[in-house]
Amino acid sequence: MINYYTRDWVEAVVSRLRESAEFRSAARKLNGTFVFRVLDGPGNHDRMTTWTFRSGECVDWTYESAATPWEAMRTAEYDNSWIMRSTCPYEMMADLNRGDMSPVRALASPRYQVEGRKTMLLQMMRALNLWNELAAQVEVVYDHDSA
Amino acid sequence: MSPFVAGVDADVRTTGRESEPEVFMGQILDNEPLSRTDIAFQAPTQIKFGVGKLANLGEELQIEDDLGDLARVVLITDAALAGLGIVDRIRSGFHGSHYDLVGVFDDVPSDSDVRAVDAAAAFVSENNAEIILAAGGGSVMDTAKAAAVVATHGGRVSDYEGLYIVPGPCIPIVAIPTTCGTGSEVSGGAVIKDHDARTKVILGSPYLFPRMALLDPELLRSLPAHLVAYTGMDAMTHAIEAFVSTDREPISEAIALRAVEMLADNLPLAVADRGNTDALSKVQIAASMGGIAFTNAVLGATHAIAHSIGSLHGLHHGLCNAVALPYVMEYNLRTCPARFAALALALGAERAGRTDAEFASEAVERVRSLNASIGIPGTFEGLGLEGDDATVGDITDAAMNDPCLAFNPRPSEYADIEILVRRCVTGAS
Ligand SMILES: [Fe+2]
Repeated sequence: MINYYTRDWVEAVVSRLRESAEFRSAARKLNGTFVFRVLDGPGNHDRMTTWTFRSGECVDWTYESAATPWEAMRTAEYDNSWIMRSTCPYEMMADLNRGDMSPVRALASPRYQVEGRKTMLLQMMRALNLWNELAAQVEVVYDHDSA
Repeated sequence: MSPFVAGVDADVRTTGRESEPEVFMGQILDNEPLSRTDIAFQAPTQIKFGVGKLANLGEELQIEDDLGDLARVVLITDAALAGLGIVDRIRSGFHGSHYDLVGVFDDVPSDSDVRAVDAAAAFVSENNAEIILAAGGGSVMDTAKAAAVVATHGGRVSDYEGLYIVPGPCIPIVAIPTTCGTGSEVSGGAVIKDHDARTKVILGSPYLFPRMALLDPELLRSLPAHLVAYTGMDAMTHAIEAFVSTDREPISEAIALRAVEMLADNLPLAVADRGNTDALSKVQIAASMGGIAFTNAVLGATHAIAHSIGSLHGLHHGLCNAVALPYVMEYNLRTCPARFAALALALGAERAGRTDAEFASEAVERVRSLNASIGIPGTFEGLGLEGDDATVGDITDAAMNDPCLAFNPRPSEYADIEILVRRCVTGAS
């Protein structure tokens, strides 16, 4: 099993995205870079991942982590070239991935922040839902110490 | 001093920094930063308003290049409206034109249903309709939109559930609203109930915007007073929630604020007297303005709670909004006091030198007074609900999963909404 929100996990999700014909077809309009900041995670680390798509193909990704609180990452300005940046605590990200929390509940919460092109996000909703589904299919351990 | 300001007797404020020019400052909203830095606004539906406009239906369609060469028209409506003579009025509206009303589907239930969509879509297809007229309230217009999707692209309505799933343009719809609230005549959304599965199918797509909304206040004359009140307060809630939502932007904002003022000034008059053509007209126009505003800026916790109570307790959507609205406004007050101060002005309150923070709560009081003046009770207990833990918990559970909640200006956790719902039900603080 893979530890959730580690480099190994990102690699596993990316390979699923690349292998899924259904995703590539549904995600034809998925373009641009998506940034996720996950705070207060295992190993006492914050994390940041970036995922870049070209016509539904995940062409680039990054994973970085640093000891909590990773001030440079937490205070970094939003880059308007991104599609979106979301920020939330690790526990909330884990609840979302487990299906214990609905996306609406996360979005309504003061602990979850989304910046970026919201209208475009809505237009990409079908692809984003499939991305979440594929990510949730990776078998993971949530309670771990890796970063 | 700026050349534009010199010699002008006006309220001029400065930012307090030496290097910056003096600027005029408006008195309606403070100059807050944009809450969205990325905006896409759409209002593609052509709106035609006129007292007695339905009598000119043929001419109004024929003058449009894309509708003028079409001929086969199907009307979708409900049995109650058919009983009130809507079919004859539409037939006479086409009198002397080349349009052919080839079929009337008057079987839409008051609370839309997937089976009605299937039946309406089959009817549209069998009749080779080129234009769909949707004359009715939200249920009729949403049914017509979904039927247009299915008739054009095949399958079932559930195939198109979600946002941006409809693959392309549909048979054009001319929406003729007979209530004054849903805004469906100018929106790209449709909500269809699946009564068997006890769920809703929600569609959102740019292809669902009606081609035209034809607003004729004559059609509101037979609407009972309580339905004018309920649907009018639905429109008020659309405008107020769009004005303060997290996705607000200046284009919707302008439309919403004026809609609030028009509804505040005219809804009690329209409820009292459906013979008051000017008041009915303004309520009807404001309802479409509210629709445009919320289509772009979305809604908030009032709709999340109203959707939940509506489906759990079978109460009218507009009535649920009306009851919940002042409580949700109170809950949101401190998040954006300048916006609520502007709403207070639009709702007719006197500022009397008060700051935004002091004045904002007047907006809540004005809505409470408006509700009282048109016969809306102050709590859901007044509509038969009980404030016990199970009732409040069920409503809260549903509201927490309603997409509208994500756009409420004050971020919320479960416990916050539970307290808010309890207040809506019992009135207790
Ligand atoms: Fe509504």
